[in-house]
Parts: sequence; C-alpha cells; structure tokens
Amino acid sequence: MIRIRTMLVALAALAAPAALAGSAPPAGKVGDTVQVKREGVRLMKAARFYGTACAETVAAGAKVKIVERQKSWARIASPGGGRCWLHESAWSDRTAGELTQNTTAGSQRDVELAGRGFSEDEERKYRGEKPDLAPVFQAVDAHVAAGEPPPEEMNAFAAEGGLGGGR
Amino acid sequence: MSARNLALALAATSLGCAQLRSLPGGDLVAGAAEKNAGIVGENLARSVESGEFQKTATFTMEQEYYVGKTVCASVLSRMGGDVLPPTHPAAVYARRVGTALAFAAADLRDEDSRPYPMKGFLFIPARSEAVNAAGAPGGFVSVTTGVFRAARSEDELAAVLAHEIAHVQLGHTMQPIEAARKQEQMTGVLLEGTSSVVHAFFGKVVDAGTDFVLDRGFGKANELAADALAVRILAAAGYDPGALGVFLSRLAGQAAKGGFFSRHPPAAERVEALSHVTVQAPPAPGEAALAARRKRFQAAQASVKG
Repeated sequence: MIRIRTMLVALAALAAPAALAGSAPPAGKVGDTVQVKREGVRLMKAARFYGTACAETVAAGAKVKIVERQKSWARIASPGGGRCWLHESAWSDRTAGELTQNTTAGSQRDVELAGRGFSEDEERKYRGEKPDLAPVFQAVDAHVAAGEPPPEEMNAFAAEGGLGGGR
Repeated sequence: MSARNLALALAATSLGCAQLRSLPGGDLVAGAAEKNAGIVGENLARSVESGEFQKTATFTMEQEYYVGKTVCASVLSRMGGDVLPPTHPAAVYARRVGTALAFAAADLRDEDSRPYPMKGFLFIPARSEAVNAAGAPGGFVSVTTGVFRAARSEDELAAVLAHEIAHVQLGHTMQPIEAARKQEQMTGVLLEGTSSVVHAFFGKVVDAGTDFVLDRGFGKANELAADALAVRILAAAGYDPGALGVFLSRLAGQAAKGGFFSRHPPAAERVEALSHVTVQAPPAPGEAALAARRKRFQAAQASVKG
C-alpha cells in the first residue's frame, strides 16, 4: 500500500506543470491600454471607493488608456475627459492556462481544459439536470441582479457608521 | 499495473463511478477507480490543504464566476434552500456591510490574489438556525440567519463575512477545482473533449467545491491565513480588527453543532494565532457612528427573528 501510494503521489507530481510563472499579469502602467473585464465597475472622481462617482460609465470589454497611477487606482484618459479613476481590479484578470507555459503535451492539455467547461452554457445544462435547485438558482439570480450597492448608498452607509478606514 | 493504467485509475477516482461507466472505456477505469478511491480522496484533500495548487490558478474571473455561482446554489440548497430575497432588510444590510469589506479587500490585493469577482462580491443570507457562512468561487458568500443571531454587533457580523472574502481572495475556494483539474488532465482516454465529458467534469468540480466550502474547509494553514487577512480587511474597512477573536472566543462551544466552527481549527487555536497578527487599528469611530452601527445591526437582527 505504501508503495502504491508513493507511486500515485509521484505521478501526481509529474502531472504538475514544470514551469509556473506564479504571478498575475502586470497591473497596468501609465501609458498602457487595458481592457475592462468586470461588470458594474465604478468610475470615481478621486482614487478611492467612497466619494463622488463620475457620471460616465465603462462597460466590460471597453479599452481604456491609463494616464496616472495612485497605488491600486488609475486615472484614465476616457471616458470622463481624464477626470475619472478606475480601480485596477476592473481589468486584472488571468488568461486561461497562463501559468502553465511550457510546451509539453500535459501542459497543453492544461490550457485546453482551463479554457473549457465553465461557462454560461454549462451552468444552463447543469440547471436543466437539477430541477430541484431551480428555486435556489432563481434566488441567486435575484441577488446577482441586485448587484453591489450604488456609490451614493455606500457613501451614506460608510459615513453613518464611520467606515472607509478614514478615507 | 502499468504507469498508464495507474494514471487512469488515479484520475478515474475523481469522477463518480456512475459517470465513468457512461464514458468510453468506463468499466475498465471504474473498476480500477474503486480500488484506489480512498487514496486519491486523501491526495485531493492533501493538495487543497497544503495550498500547493494556489499558484497554478489558470481560470479567468469569468470561468470562476460560472462555477462559483453553481457551487453557491448547491451550498444554499444544502443550507436548507430558504434564501432571503435581495430586498429583505437583512439581505440589504449584509450587502452593505459586505461591500464595505470588499472595497477594503480590493485595496489589499497582491499579485497572488485571485481576480476580483466579475460581478463583485455577493452576500446571500439563508434562513437557518445553524451558525454558518461559506465563500464560494466568484465572490458568492452565503451566510445563515444563525450568524445574524449569534453576532452581537455589526463588527462581529463583518468579521465572519471578512473571513469568507479572504478565502475567495486568497484562492482557497478554487483549490479543490484546480486539484480536480490536475487529476483530470492525466487521463487522455477520458478527456478527448466530448461535451458530455466536459459536462461531467463541471458537475464533479461543483460537488467537490461544495464539499470543501461547506464541510471540509481548506485545511488549518489556509483557515488561519484567512483569519489573518480578515483582520486586515476589517481594519482597512474601519471595523474593529479584534471582532473576529471576540466572536470566536464567545462561540467556541458551537463546534459540536456543525457549520462555521466545525470545519475550522479549534477556536482557541485560531484566537491564539490571531494574537500574533499585527495590524494598524483604524481611526476610532465616534459615539454617533457606534450608535448608528448598533441601531442598524439590531434592526437587521430583528428582521430575521421569529
């Protein structure tokens, strides 16, 4: 049993990709153009989550140019005429399989697998097979639709309770 | 047993046997799988608990969102399925407290953090007497009304939510899924790419993800790491960073009842570890702010009684 276990562990280790970069993509420098990945991101008039939001919005998929950085925030050229700040979490994503960058067959399969199977279509199939979960999925959908509270709601909540870390 | 067959057997145990038998060559693989099921189960758990897959995260925020949403539905179903609507006062309140924490967490991200959730963190209360909360991939945080009743302040409720945010941000909630994928990629026979196989894989990782976030937890080291980050999140948000320790100390005896405490290291051990976490305390809130927190917490708590 011990020998089998040792072999299994060794095989599992062999299956791990040999070269792991181990870090997320660059966060975006001044002059870079980055693509927004998230939905419902906030454009703020200062580099913070609380305060006045810009009237402009930016949708997932939009490309924006960075003109200034302050810690995890970036002032973007547009929309907003260079007045609006976007948090880097709006564009910081990973590419499927990016950390398995060697060219062996195993890692190629990693890349293929990482890019498949976790999609809206897969969720739909799963829901079709589990009708008993329909009420719970509908409830989750309702919470997704509600989304994050809008800036003015969070401003009031934070101000009333002394939140925001003094920012 | 040849190395190839051993690899097949190893991978096969990560799929349910019923699913395997419907696949090409399934009987052969399933037979081998049954022999080794316990071993692989241990390996999966060990991989998750050691965190060795954390840096191999290959899934995008969109992929994490879809698997996480399904894990969340599965978790809520196992919590009893009585989900409060987003307009319920407790749900509105959890969303506000949680979002204040999520903002703070976003500013604490580093290069190893998982991407921020595609649609932001979502805080979903469910009616249950159990004191339980579970963070799922994609930022889905389920919390029972039992937590609202067990907490004595907004800061304590925030501490529980911050711990779950930390698991998501540190990538712990994706580790069972990464681990399952690692096993899966060894099986050339099983993964020739038919949609039914990919679908079986999706169902399997949902089950594995649910088991880990709800039952097993992510191992002692990861739980303590989540506690430490939770304290930093609390402080950055403006909450009392000591609230997690206070909550854990008071409810240490709840472990026997299951839920939030049973899948974690003993409360005394967590409190002791928290005593070594140093964090800059936020500016002290004024009396008016404390009174406001108390009032809105009590209102939310009252909304889930009865």
